[in-house]
Amino acid sequence: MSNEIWHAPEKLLDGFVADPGEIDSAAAASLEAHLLACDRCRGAVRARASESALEDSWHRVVAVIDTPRLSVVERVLIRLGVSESTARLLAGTPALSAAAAGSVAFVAAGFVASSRITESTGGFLVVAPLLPLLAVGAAFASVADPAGETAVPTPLQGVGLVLRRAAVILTAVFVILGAANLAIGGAGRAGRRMVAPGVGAPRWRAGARYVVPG
Amino acid sequence: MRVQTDAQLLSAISEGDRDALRTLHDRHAAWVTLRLRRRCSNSDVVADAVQDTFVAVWKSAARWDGRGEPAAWIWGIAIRRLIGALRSRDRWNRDRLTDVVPESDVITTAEDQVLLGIEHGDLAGALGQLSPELLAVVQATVLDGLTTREAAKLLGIPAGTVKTRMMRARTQMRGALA
Ligand SMILES: [Zn+2]
Repeated sequence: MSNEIWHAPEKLLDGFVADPGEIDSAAAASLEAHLLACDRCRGAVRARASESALEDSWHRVVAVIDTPRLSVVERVLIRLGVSESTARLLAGTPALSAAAAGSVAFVAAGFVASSRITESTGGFLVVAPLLPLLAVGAAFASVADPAGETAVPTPLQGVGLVLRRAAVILTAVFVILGAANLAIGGAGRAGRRMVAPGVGAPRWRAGARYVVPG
Repeated sequence: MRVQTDAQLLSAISEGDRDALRTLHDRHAAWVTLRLRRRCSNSDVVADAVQDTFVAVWKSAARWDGRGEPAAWIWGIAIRRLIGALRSRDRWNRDRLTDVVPESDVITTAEDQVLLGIEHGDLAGALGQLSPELLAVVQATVLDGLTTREAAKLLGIPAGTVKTRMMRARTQMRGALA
């Protein structure tokens, strides 16, 4: 071609990639202007770069973009004195949040409904304590998110994770049922019966029909 | 395999495509890092700025208006991240990352823009006529695309000085390019 487009000569590129100071600032500045518009010369600079430095640079970016933003739940937990990493563990998975909310809502609704109908809450009492556990199990099954990936490096830690999440869900169930209990008043006994096994109390009070193993 | 343009990569990134970000990083991190290193000798500060640049690209790719060179857009973010990093290295707020994506607020004149289109040799020649302090101002405003205020921060001189030096530089370059 008669009208060849200018590209940076090897020597200029070498000087640019070497420590600053190798080429004078005017030449560097004009190369910089050229780089903004030239794929080919950017590629030539890239080819001269250290692979390991680029790799490090990429990992630093990944470290930030793979860290999920703090959710409302996490911020509340941190306010309450839970450490940030634990808060992420506990609230990190959307599945956990959904399962926990669903289970709590179901338990509370069932409790309210059954106490409205009759003092004897019967079969629901048997099932209710298992719901939080199901919720935790469902949450544990989903480990595809960043919090799950980093949180479950080994099966052993996974068990600890289930227990910690279970503690949080059970606490939430307990608090909500306590509130419902106060609101309903008369049905208090049934509510307490239901909560007792859920939180693992060995014996709730004299009227309790459950004795939880352990 | 089809090679994607930077513009296509940015649009994929705006839809959450991490591989696209990785490719974009691979193409641009090297020259961005080198160019920042010419403006800041502290390699840790530069590494922070490069990291924040690509995090900002990840979060804000949708804000690229589709005009001009993606490389210029990335550079606009990078140089502002460097200024941010230099200003308050220890306590800058990462949550405000998206605030640093450049809007169309660059103050260079049409005449200045012509400089960017000049052949390498001629531009180097014209810039070579300038004293180091005038060159630094031209570099910050015309080549880096900073506002007067941003250039003042980067160079550690008052905004008024940036303006007067820029005027002197224009006069000298007009002579050199004539
Ligand atoms: Zn070129």
